[in-house]
Amino acid sequence: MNEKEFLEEIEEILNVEESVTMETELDNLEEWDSLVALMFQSFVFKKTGKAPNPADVGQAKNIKDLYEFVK
Amino acid sequence: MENYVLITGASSGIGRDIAVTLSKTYPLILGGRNVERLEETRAMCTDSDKHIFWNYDLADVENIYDNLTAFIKNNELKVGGFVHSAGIWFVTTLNLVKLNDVQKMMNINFLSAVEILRSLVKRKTNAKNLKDVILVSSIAPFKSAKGEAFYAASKAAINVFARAMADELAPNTRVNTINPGIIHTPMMDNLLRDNEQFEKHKRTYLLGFGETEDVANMAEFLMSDKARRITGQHFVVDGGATIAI
Ligand SMILES: NC(=O)c1ccc[n+]([C@@H]2O[C@H](COP(=O)([O-])OP(=O)(O)OC[C@H]3O[C@@H](n4cnc5c(N)ncnc54)[C@H](OP(=O)(O)O)[C@@H]3O)[C@@H](O)[C@H]2O)c1
Repeated sequence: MNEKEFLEEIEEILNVEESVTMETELDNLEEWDSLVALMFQSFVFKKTGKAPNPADVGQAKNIKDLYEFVK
Repeated sequence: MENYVLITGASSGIGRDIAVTLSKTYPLILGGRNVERLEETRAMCTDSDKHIFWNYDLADVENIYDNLTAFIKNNELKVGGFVHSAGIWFVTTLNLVKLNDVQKMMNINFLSAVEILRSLVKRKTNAKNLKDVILVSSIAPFKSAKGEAFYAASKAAINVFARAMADELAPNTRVNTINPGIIHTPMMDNLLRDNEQFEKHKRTYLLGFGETEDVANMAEFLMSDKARRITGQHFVVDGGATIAI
């Protein structure tokens, strides 16, 4: 999955009004909460066949860190 | 011969433990898709050769009635009890929900119970044999949690259905639900692996998370004559989770 496709997917998962970039900080996104993190985990599972460790997802600082899980 | 108790979801978790417990008293029809796992359950049961399998995928809800009716007639069975423990669970936001997934959950968690019950109360199939129905619901309809809207809706449907059926099928058949909180089973393993969720839930479980036998004990009581005056009720087995702040 390339960066552009990932940004489209993550915007869908986050349900954001404004577009996000790879640099967008998760702390600044009110949409990023524990439930959305869970939705992100199942997205990663669907794409890669591997369930990410929830604690590792919790460590992510920005969108680029999330991209690392599916790259 | 004693009348059979049909248990859906008998191949795993709560349904399996209900089967093991009830096998001390009744011959069982063990329901599930996976015959190997049903065999495992049967091996754990008392008098294992008394129990038989109804191997059926409940997602195919349209054909349940015909399939079960033929199964009962062909094997000349008398079914005195029905426990519905088959169920699926997933978490999703409204934003990401897929109608197909919700419909599948509604079919397995709720509508399959409707179709099974419809077959079991048909006099031409099962006379007036059906005495006790236990539908395994959840505390989800009583305690809202983000991401659980659709699961809770499927279980709320079960609750309301049980009350209405208690009325419609009285005095011949009693209908109750058991509403467990979190129980250690394969279904919950994933949730409990997530530390953040685990800690959040743990605080409200005054007596800790439950074990499958806690639900099986309630089922044993409800299936027995000791519960003969009880119908249309919801039995919460949740270690205090619904009353804790
Ligand atoms: N565990 C909990 O914390 C908890 C809490 C509240 C309520 N509950 C409820 O308790 C019930 C049992 O849950 P559990 O924790 O024991 O789950 P589980 O270990 O995952 O077992 C689920 C059972 O449902 C059966 N099932 C699933 N899809 C089916 C299908 N399409 N056709 C036929 N059978 C199917 C499975 O049989 P196969 O062998 O065919 O897969 C299995 O026997 C569910 O209704 C659940 O909602 C559980």
